[in-house]
Amino acid sequence: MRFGVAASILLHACLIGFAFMSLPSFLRTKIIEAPVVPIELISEAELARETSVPAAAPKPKPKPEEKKPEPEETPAPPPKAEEKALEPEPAPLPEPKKEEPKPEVKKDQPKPPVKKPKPKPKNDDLDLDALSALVDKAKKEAPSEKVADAVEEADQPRARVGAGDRLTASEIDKMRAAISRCWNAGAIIGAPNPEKLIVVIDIDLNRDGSLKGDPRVVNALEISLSGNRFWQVAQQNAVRAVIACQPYDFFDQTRYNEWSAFSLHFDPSQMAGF
Amino acid sequence: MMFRLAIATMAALAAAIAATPAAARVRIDITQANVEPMPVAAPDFLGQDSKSSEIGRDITGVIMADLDRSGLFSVIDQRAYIEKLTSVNVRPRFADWRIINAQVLIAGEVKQDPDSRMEVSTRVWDVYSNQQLGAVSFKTPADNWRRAAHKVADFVYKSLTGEEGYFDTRVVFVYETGPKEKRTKRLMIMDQDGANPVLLTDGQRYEALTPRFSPTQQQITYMALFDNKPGQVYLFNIETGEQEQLGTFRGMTFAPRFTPDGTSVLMSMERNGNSDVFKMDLATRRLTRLTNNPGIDTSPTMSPDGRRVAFTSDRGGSEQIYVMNADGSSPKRITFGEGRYETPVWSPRGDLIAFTRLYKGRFYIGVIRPDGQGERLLTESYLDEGPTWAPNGRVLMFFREPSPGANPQLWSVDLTGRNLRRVRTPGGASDPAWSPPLP
Repeated sequence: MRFGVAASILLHACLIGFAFMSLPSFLRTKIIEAPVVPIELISEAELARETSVPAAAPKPKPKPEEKKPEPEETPAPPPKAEEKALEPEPAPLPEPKKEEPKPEVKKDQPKPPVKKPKPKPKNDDLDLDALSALVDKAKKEAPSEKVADAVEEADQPRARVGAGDRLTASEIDKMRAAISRCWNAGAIIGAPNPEKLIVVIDIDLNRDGSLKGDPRVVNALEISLSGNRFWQVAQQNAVRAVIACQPYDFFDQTRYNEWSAFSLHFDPSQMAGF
Repeated sequence: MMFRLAIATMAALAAAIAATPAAARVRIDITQANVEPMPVAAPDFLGQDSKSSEIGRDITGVIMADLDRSGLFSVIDQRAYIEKLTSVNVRPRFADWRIINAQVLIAGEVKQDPDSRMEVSTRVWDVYSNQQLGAVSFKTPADNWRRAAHKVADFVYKSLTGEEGYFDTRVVFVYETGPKEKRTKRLMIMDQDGANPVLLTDGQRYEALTPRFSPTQQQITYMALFDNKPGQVYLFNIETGEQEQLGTFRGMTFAPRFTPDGTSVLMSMERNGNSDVFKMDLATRRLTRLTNNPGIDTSPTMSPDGRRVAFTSDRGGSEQIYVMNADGSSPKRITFGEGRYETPVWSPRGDLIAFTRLYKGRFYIGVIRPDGQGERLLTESYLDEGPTWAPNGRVLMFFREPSPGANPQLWSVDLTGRNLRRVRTPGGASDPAWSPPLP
C-alpha cells in the first residue's frame, strides 16, 4: 500500500515535471514576421556599436523598400525606465533582459509577439531610496512571480511570460537587412515567373558569427530537377549572398542558442514589379 | 526497493528534461535584394605571344563593355586585382578575389593556331562558392575577334542570369543626314555595341523606312518611299545586297514585319483610304487578309509561338492595341488608357508586348502583358518611339528626339525600366530593329 502510494506520487511528479518542461514548446506560437518596430532606449555609442554590419557588404543606393537596421528610439514611460535602471548593479548585462517581462506583465496588455527590448545601459545616477520603493510596488503587483526579492534573485531563471527564447525583433531585422544587402538579385529580377524562384537555405552559425559548415539549400533537388535555369541562378545568387555576408556578428553572445540556426527563405517575387 | 524506484524516477525525470525540444531554427523571409550591378573581375585574356596577348586585351575590352552596358554587372578596375593569373586551367586563389569584392571571376586565354585561326577559352568562377560556374572554348579566324568576344560575353551572361545573351547581334536602323526639311534616309547596320557601322542603301532613289530583320535568314524587310510612286515593301539580302520587291499592290503597303518562323511577312495595306492587316507567304507570294474593318489597322506583330497577332487599330475611336488569333479571328482590345497606343512589338520571350504611347503631348515606351494586364511605362520624353526587342526579350531599343528639331538618337532600356542609356551611332538614327542571334 505505502509502496503503491509512493510510486504513484513519484510517477505523477515525473509526469508533471515532463509537462512543465515540454508542453510550453508544443503550445508555442510560430514566430510572427509582422513588421514590428523595435523600440529601445540606448545611447548613441550603443547605437553605433549594435548597428554595425560586416564591411564586406556593398553599399546600397537609398531605396524605399530597403529596411534600415536602426531601431527607433522612443521615450518609455517613466516607471518602466526607472525599473530598468534598477537591474545593473554588480550583475553582468544579460540579467536585465530577464527582468523586462515584469513591467510588461504589469502593463496588463495582451501582446502576442513579446517585444523584448535590448538591455539598457547602466544608469549611474541611482536613487536607491526611490528605487527600493518601486521594488516593493513590483512585488505587490506581480504575485504570480515566485520571486521573493527581485534584486537578489535576479540571476536565477523563473517562469516567464511567453517562451522567452526568441530572437528580438530588431535582431531578426538586422539579419534580414544584412542578407538583403548582400543578395545581388539584379540578374533575376527580369526573369519570368519570379514567384517560382524561391530558394530556402539553412545555415548554422558559430559563436563569432561565421558559417558553421556550408549553407544547405533545402530545395536543391527540386531546383536541379526542374531544369529552370533562372531558378538555378537564383540558387547560386542566394548561396553567394549567405557566404559573402559573414560574419554575422551583431548578435548577443549570451543567447547563442537562439541565433545558432537559421532557415532563410529568398523570395524575389515582390521585387519583380510585374 | 524504494531506492531502485527512486533511481528509476530520477532517470525518468532526466529523460523528460532532456526531451525538451531544442531551440527551433529561426525562419527569416528575405524579400528585398540589392539590385546593384554584380561586381565581376575580368583580367585580360592570356596569350602566349605578343599578338595573341594583344587580341586577348581587345577581347577583354569588348567583354567588359558588353557586361557593363547590360546594367547587370559592374567590372572591377583591373588595377585593383591582386592575383595575376598565369593559366586558365589552374584554380585561382579565391581569397585574393574576395578581398576586392568580386563575386565572379572571368578568366580566359587566346591561342593562335598555325592555320591562322585562334582558339578562345574561358572559365567563369564563382568566387564565394569556390567553384567553376562554366567553361567554353571555340575556334574562329583571328580577325573575327569581336564576334568571339561577344560570344564569350553571351556565355558569361547566360551563366550568371540563366537568360540567353544578346551581345552577338546587330542592329539595323534608318540613318538620317541632311537638314530637317530635306532629310536623306538610308539603311545602316552595325553591331549592337555600335561597332562596324555599314550603309546598306544609298538613299538616292528612295527613302528607306521601318527596317525589320528576318528571324531565320540574313534578310531585312523595309519600306521604300519614292517621290513619284506609292511606297513599296522590299526584301533586302544583307549578304548579297540583292533587293526584291514583295509584290505590286494597288495602294500603299507599310509597317512590314516577319513572322517568327520567317516564312511570311505581316504588313498593312491601304486601299481607298482604309488600311487593313495582311499576311504574305514569302514562298508563294499569296496574300491572306487578317482584318476587315473600316478602322485603320496597322503595325501587326506576331507572338513567338505563331498563334496570335497584335496590331494597332482606331476602330474604337483612338489608336489602341488589339490582339487576335493568327488567322484574324476574335480581335480583342487590350489597352484602354487615354491617349494613343502604337507600334506594338511582341517580345521574343512571349510574355510582354512593347508599345509607344502618346499622351498629353509626351511620348512613352511601355510594356503590357498580352492579356492587357500589368501595363508599365518605361521611358518618357518629347518623342520616344519604335521599340524593338533584343532576342532574349530583356532589353528594348528605341529612338528618341530629346527636343523639337533635335537629331534622333538610339537609346536602350531594360524591361524593368532600369539602365536607360544611349546607343552610339555615326549620326542621326531612328527606327532600330534588333537582329536575332547571329549564327
